[in-house]
Amino acid sequence: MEGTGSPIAALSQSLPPQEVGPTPVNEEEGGGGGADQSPTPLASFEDETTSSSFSSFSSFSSSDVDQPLQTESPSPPEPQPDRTDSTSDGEPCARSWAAPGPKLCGYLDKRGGPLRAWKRRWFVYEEKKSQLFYYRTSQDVTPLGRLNLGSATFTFPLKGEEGSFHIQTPERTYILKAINQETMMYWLQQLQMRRWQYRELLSGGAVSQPASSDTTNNNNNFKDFLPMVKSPQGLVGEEAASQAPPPRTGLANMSIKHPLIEFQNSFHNLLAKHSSQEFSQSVFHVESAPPWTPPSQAADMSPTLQTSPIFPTPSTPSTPSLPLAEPAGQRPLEDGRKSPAVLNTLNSRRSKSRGTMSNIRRETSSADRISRLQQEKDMLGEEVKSQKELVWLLHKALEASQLEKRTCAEFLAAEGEQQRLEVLRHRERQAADLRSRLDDLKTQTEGLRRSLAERDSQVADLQENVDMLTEKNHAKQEVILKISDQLATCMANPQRKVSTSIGLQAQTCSLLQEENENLKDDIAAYKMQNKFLNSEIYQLTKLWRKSSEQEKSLMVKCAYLEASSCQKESRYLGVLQRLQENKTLDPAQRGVVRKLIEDALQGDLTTSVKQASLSYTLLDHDDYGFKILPDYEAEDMKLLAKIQALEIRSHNLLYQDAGDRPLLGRWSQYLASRSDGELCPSPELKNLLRAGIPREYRQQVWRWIVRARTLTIREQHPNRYKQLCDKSLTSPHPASRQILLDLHRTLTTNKHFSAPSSPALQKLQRILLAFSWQNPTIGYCQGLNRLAAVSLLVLQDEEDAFWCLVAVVEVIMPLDYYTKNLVASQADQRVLKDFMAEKLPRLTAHFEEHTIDVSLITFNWFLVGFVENLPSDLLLRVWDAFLYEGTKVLFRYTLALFKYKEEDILKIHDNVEIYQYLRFFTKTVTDGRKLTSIAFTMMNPFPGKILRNRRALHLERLQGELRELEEQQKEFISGSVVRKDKDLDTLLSEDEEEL
Amino acid sequence: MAIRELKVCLLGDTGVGKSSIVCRFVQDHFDHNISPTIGASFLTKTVPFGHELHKFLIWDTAGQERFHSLAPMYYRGSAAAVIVYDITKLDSFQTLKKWVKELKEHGPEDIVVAIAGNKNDLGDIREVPMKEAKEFAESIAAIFIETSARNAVNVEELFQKISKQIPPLQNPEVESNESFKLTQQPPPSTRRCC
Ligand SMILES: Nc1nc2c(ncn2[C@@H]2O[C@H](COP(=O)(O)OP(=O)(O)OP(=O)(O)O)[C@@H](O)[C@H]2O)c(=O)[nH]1
Ligand SMILES: [Mg+2]
Repeated sequence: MEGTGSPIAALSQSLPPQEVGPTPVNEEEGGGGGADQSPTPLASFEDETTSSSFSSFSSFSSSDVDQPLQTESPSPPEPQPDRTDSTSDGEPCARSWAAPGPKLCGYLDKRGGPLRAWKRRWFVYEEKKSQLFYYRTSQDVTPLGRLNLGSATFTFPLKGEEGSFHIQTPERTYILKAINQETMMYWLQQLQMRRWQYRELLSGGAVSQPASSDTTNNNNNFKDFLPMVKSPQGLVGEEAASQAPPPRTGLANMSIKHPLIEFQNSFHNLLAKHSSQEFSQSVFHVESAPPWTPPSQAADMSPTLQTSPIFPTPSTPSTPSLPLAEPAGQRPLEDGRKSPAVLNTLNSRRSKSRGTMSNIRRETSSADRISRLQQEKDMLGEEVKSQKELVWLLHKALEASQLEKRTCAEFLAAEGEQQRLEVLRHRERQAADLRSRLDDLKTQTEGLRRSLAERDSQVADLQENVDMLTEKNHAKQEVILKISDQLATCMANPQRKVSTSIGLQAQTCSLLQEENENLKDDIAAYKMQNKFLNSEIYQLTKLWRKSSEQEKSLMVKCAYLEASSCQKESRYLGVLQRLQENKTLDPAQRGVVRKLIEDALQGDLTTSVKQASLSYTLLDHDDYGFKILPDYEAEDMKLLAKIQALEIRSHNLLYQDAGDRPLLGRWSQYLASRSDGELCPSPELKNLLRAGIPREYRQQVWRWIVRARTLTIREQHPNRYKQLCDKSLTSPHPASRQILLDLHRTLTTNKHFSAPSSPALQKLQRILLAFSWQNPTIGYCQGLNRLAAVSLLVLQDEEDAFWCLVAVVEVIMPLDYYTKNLVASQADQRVLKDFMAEKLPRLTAHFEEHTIDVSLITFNWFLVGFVENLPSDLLLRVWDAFLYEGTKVLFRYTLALFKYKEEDILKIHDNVEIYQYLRFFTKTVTDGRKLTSIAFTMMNPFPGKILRNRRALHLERLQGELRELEEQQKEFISGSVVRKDKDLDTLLSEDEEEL
Repeated sequence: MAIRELKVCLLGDTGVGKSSIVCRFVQDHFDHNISPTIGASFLTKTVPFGHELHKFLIWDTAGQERFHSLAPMYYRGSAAAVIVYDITKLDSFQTLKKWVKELKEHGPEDIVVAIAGNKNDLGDIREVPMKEAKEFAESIAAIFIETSARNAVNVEELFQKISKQIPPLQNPEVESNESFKLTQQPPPSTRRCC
């Protein structure tokens, strides 16, 4: 703000902006509607969206600029630099404004003030901050206010006055009016374009040539909407300033609430010695007007008022028309003499001012000269005219005096009193005679005039009569015509009623036509508005898209940062853990380490992470509604659990979608080459499924697999699911009680199942109840609820999910997996142990050493297909392959899970700790791709034949054992009846002894 | 201080609140919609008792009947078994009796049996009178207590009672009555801390 010419502007600097900001807004230029009237709070939209460099400015922009106090700080803390030098050399600044690109400025009417009247304002667009400043005139230095366009939207009303449009900023709506529709369109498009450029500049930073490149861009865009309106000549731009100056004094145009600015602007104009003629004239008049103008008018600068006293009006000499009124006759002469003198001073003043101004405005002064000469010429002509009139008057006077002279001479020529008397008497008689004749004539003329008037009135009456008759005639003719028309139509159409209605129709038709015309106009207007709004929408969406892209990139950045922070933290915790295990530390160091660990554990992971990042809240649940971070409850493993959680988190953040992209491409390629629903088994499909199905295609592919797996059952019973549902309603299976009990205990961490009233739960209930009759021997086994729930989450459709459950339980899993005693499941655990011994000999030995029975842990992995044992993304990947290839996949992944963490497990040498670790380690697997590759490459070969053989073997053995057990039990029961009392006795006595 | 590891298994009908009791004991937390246990779950909790620390290794088993055949894997080598029933469900008390019988037949000989009547907070819809249950427990010399996992009533007391019943540092014999040839669990062992 250095070097500002205006002292008042300088004064404003001393006012801190925050003192200016909150003062109540006094709506003067206030726009329309109640919505505009409330000043928005300081934290405006702008604060949030634009860069920090803007924020220093926002306290101004958010509070309304129109408030009177604000006028003392006419420009923002960082004013337009071009403006400062313009004020210093005294040039009118609004014109010398040197901005890049074509200048957008012009006069617009702005609605506002308490009267809500249109006021003409000079609007200038400022690129840097994308603001529209408005001044009272183009010569003003200090704006009355400004509009922020950075986040403004534009529209124009349909039914408004011609050329009016609205600019809606977050603070308020401005109602403006251009001189015509075309200019309005020009303004709107320009504003749109400039807003775009501004936003580009804000976001891009390096916009070397924004005007050229973007304008062409925009032009292209506008082709879709509205053709670019050419700048209306002389109505906008800098030339508009000189060609359409507003009435300077019109009080209506004065800014009532800006007296200071008004004064300031006038003051500046004075300083600037603007060379306009009116101005120099007005100065002249202040000095020379007193004889004619009252002092109040002297201050007035209106050019129309100024001209009136300058030139002597012709009415002055006409008043003294009597020949003997000498002084009156002299006055015009005096005036005439005086005027040239006045003109001379005028001229000299003019030339003087011309002399000073000639350097600056040569053209204007020459034009001035011409007009001044013209005026002089007019004045002189006027003078000549009055002189001529004077001459004529003098002639008349001369004539009269000559007549008088003649009579006097006659009178003097008579001899003697008698004769003179005679003459006198004669004259007198003559006079009397003449007088009486005159009287006669007067009465005669009076009479004649009266009779004339009478005649006239008679004639008028007659004329009236004639008119009436002709009118009547006309009407009659019309009636005749009408009737003959009707007759004709009657002839054509014998129904008379129609004819009358036709008359009515004709009337309504014309009405309709009129309406039609109106509507057409409306349509045209709507079309126009529509086009414009389209472009506005387009532009806004472009802006929005850009912002959201930015946001996304920031999110990604944030995720990366968070991931690295998580990694760091987990590494730190790892170090702490190792330190904790280090036995060589002295007690003090140990204490410190313990303290550090406690501190690290104290910060609750989920809440701290939630607060720290935006992205986390979005990622709380995955696409299928599973919680992303598992909860850990293991008492002794908290540190480890936290490390794992952090690792999962960093992994998730880093590979959110990056890893899946190539896979997505492969899948879409694969699916595109096949017509829908026509997948066929192939090695290619198998490999794709092993890598996992992208979320986009999972439902479709699962549906296909399930369909293929259950094809025969479904063909035999086309309406199966519905029938089963009905049956389960009419006669519930004994297992239904258990189903209802477990329903609310299914996938409780999944958001689709957590709400008791969720539709997913009702679907699940129907599926499980239907299944209880689909397979009455199984009925319901705890765990089936989880299988059905996962099916439902992926397939969405209830019946599809039912068939998926059927496919898993009846087709994929071996017989008796879920029936009484779960023999097949138990057999599989033995098969697994065989495979473990074969594929993971070190681990098997380790487990044996510490008497670990893995089946205690793995049993439920198999029974529920890892549901709730693996992170959801991995779980679904396992299922992708599992549904297609079958149980082999469960073995492969189980072995792979142990392999994945083999080293970690081998490090633990305590039975309890190993169990504890095994209980939750599956949820900590972060690298799914690594796990998959272990499962499908490291565990090879994995022939199905061996699996089948081993299964058969173990099943047989197990069944043998079970039979043995049953026999034992039977024996026991028969024996126990006898021993019962005795047994109790011994138990009791033993207890007593111990106590 | 000596740490004693005590293997405890929880048996009982499905839905009686076994997992809830464990959850209350270990984490002092209650979840209305706790998932049904499949197979079994394993948790530990250490509590001081006299001059010892008792580390409970808790195997919480699945309640549905078809999982019964897995139970031996869990109660084998257990120092104690908590058999839970739901005081609002007579059925669950019948199941409890079955479990007592099975333990007698196949369980470790010196196993401490505790009977827990859970959901004690739902007294107004009670189906199993306390007296009857108590008498039954006395008849088999078992610990008896009514608990509420929801309101944290008597859960810690239950495990304290078990601790009391554990004979101090004895050398129990290895049980032999096994129905499943699975790897053997070690007998409750003691070890020194530090
Ligand atoms: N009112 C009440 N409800 C309880 C209490 N304890 C458990 N429940 C509820 O009973 C239901 C079953 O609890 P679980 O702990 O899952 O029962 P469980 O014995 O482990 O069941 P399974 O795992 O299927 O064998 C849950 O809905 C619990 O909320 C209790 O003390 N009071
Ligand atoms: Mg349970």
